Amino acid sequence: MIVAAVLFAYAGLLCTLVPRLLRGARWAERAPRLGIAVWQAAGVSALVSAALAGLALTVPTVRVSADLAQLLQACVMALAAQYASPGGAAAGAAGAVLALAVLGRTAWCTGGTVLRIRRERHEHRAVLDLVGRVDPVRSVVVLDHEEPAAYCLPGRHRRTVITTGALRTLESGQLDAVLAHERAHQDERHDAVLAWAQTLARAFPRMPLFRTAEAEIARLVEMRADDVAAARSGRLTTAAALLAVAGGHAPMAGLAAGGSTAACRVRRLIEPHRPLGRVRVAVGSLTAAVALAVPLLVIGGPAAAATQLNYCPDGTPAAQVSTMH
Amino acid sequence: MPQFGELEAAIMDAVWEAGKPLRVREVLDRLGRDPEPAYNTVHTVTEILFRKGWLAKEKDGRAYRYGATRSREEYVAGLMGEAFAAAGNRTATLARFVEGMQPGEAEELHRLLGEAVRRESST
Repeated sequence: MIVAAVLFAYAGLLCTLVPRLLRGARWAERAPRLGIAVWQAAGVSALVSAALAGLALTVPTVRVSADLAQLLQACVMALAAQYASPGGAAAGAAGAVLALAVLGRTAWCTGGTVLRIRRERHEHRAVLDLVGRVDPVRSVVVLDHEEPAAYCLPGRHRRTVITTGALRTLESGQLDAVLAHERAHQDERHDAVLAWAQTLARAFPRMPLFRTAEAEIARLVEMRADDVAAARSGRLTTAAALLAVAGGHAPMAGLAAGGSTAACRVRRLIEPHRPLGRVRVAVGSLTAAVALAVPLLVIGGPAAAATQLNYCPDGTPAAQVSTMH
Repeated sequence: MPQFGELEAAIMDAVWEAGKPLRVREVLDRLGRDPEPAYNTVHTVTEILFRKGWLAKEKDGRAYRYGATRSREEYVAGLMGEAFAAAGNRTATLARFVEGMQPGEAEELHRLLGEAVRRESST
């Protein structure tokens, strides 16, 4: 019961406190990959905690013993004891519902997202292959379109798409930056990162953690790709490329606080580059790892402690017990 | 199979360029491919394009004429619309390079970028 309460409180804490603490954090912009990892760790940890909390309510903790028969008997007795009382039975049922709801909902939405993405990509690629021209030198697909734009279609048959407008507007260094940006998305599987964040946000739409994580991860993924492009073509060239492509049209979605994401990205590239120090990256990574480990430690703790105890009566070592049967 | 897709694209190009419905023989003439694909192959692929909804056909004497159901520009506009749809509806095509920005923002950033470039070149 206590284990379940602790796990539940932990999940609640993650869901409410983390988005408030981490939203728009400046350090994440200086180390986008770490930022993405921290958001992902918080999400997975909250999910696992909620599922384990349900499990802990359903299955009473039993002391682990060396003898399987004894263990089973203890299990049965503990289960019988819990479910004999109406309160215990209700808690158990509620726990089972919670665990199944969390896991089932996640699995259902993951499946839905995967199928939807596969279908949309397939349809998009079919059209793209008929109307686009392949540029074998740059290995991109060129679309006849006035507006400068570039995007990538990820997946097994990936394509990098660029419009004739972009080819005309961008200088060769800037074009390199754009292509490096798109390749970074594909090489680091940002599509999968985004799909997972989107799945969680859709599966649990009322949770501020998942909603904020989706938006933040989308932003950080772009900054990460910008950094890769900047390492190749220079920060100011990348900024100029962004500006050349973005300056032409207004954002489709509403403005985020402090200007559009594109403007933030350009500003970030113009300002002096200050990547996060090694020590801070290490501390951040450690925090993410601890966040992930907490639910497992909470539920594993009692069991681990129990295995250390000797439940066999003195003078009956394990070997002797087994020969007795 | 990839060559098959290539032929589909070539046939669509021919029909779009002609700007009018074509017979299979005319499509074949306009392909200008070396080696020239067999008439039957082109006919089959044209029928596939018709079944996929890319081409419409109309009876002309004993043969059929095939015309594009939509212009290339319309398809491109459709693709761009998908790629640039609001963030929530878009994971299939990832992350267009940028989201666009307001004219005021662009002006200010151009100025900042110019200053930064000058600073860099002077040092």
